[in-house]
Amino acid sequence: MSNICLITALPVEARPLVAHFRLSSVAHRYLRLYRGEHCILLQCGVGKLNAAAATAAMLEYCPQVNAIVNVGIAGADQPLGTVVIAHAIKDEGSGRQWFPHLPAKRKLADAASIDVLTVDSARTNYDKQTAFDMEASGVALAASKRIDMAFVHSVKVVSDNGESPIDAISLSSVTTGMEKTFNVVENLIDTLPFDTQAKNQTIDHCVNELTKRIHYTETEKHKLTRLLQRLQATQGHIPSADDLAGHSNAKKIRIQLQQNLDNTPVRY
Amino acid sequence: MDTIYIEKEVRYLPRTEAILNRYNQARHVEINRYTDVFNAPAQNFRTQKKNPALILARKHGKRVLPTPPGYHIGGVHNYYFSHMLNCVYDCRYCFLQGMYRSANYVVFVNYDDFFNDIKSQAAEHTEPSWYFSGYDCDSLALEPMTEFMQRCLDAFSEMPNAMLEIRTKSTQTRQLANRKVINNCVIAYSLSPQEIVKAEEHKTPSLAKRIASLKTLQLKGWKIGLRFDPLIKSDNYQQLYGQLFHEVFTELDASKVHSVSLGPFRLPRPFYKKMIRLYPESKLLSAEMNMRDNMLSYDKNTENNMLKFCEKELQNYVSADQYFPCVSVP
Repeated sequence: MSNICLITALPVEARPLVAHFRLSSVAHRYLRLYRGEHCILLQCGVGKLNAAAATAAMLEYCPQVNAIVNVGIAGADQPLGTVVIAHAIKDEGSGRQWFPHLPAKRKLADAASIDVLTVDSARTNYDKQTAFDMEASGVALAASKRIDMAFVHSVKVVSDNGESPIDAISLSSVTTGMEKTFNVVENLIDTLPFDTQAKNQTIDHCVNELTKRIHYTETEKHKLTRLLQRLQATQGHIPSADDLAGHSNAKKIRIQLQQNLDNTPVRY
Repeated sequence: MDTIYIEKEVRYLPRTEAILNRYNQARHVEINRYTDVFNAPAQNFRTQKKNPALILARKHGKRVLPTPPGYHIGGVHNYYFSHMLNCVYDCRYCFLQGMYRSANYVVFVNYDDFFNDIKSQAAEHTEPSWYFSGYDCDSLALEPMTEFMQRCLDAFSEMPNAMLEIRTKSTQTRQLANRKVINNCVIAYSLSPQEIVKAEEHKTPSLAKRIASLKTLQLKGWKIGLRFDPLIKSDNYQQLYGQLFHEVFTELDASKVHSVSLGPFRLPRPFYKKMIRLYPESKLLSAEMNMRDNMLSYDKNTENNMLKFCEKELQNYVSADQYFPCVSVP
């Protein structure tokens, strides 16, 4: 399953993204989830509590997710259909704030950045520098417990402003607005997550094989991993699990690896 | 810079305006306090290092702090100050990776407050007191943007009783080379063998370029310092450091070097653990480290052998009164 999750509040916001990314429904008792080749999508419900609860539940159910993009409509003193990305997410009720570390501007040419203020009820005192929404802070709160804020973003499309207030929002205007976010969302999917520490598959595989055959405590497993990392750094390779198969316990394997390390010259 | 955060308090200061005009294509984000961004949880140093943001702020509170014990180059009263947090370079041994959650750069734009504090501090001593720049950042790497050192040198030119050390790896020395030398300033370069520069000091100028900058500055009349710090362990360290000293002193007039210091590699344990998580397969961090005096370092034997070797080699080039066995402790 993909590691990027799009999060929308309403079905009308989700539908265009589901169609565009060719997502199909995932059977889940409590979550409205969709999945496809490039991303998964969570429709979390209205309000920051729903957003936080659903995001947290999704992260438990989909532990591979390491990037989140909250996509939805917002009100701002900007032309309708303007797509913006949050450089700050603020919760009006608690005063808490999050600062997503934005990708390079050239990767998001279509979206200006803005403060996104999550409010508990609809607002009409529109502001050029602020987009009002109702979910972003809930998503940020839950997501930031597990994910680096470089990989948690909020993309909004302006659905209402001073000239066209919230009452004028229709299903078709939301659909049209969400379609305008596709470019930015695609760019984010291509960009995220960037430069995460690639896990060393060889070391992980070796540790998994050894811990299948021999009992390891968590501390011993950590020591084993660290020894293998140091060997990789100094030798450029590590012994395979088969090379170490002759040892009957964790301590003997550690001793062997430490000896390998001690016998490896380190030169620059 | 793609993103610049600006504290509301400093938004309309001339220094802030000058920096914002330099980067007028960047996203400008107003914030209350720099700590809201810099100290926020859920940040990854390594990720941000790829594309750091800039934060413009005012430094409140104590701006001039005493150096750790043992950190001096002959002075009795020693202080350090940081006009900037975080460094443009990416040295694998740097304690900043373990100290800060964020890799974003913070520039404190209230320069005059720093200079006034230094002036007040210097006035408390009858003997000259020392002020070290470059603890939390490279002093010169972002000088074209900050112009801090220019202002700093102007201030120190009026404080003959205050001695300034500018610590750097940068070759951004054009403005220094073109201005009038002041006698109470030492420009000190951190130097490592080129093989270690290539492997562990990412994004820094080469050893040859640093030596060239040093030579230019020395010929212009600036006092220069050489900081062989930290000393990095390897099985061929004698060859590497022997060659390093030879290269340096072939180009520079050793008799006119103000000071030379050696620094063993030491880190607080919590910093080390963070750095391991960021770079688990780093060659430098794969070395065996021991706890001593509340710091992680190479074993005592290895450290002493390296120091003794380097001291002995340096005796071929500099006199005892030029050498300071500085312990540069984070």
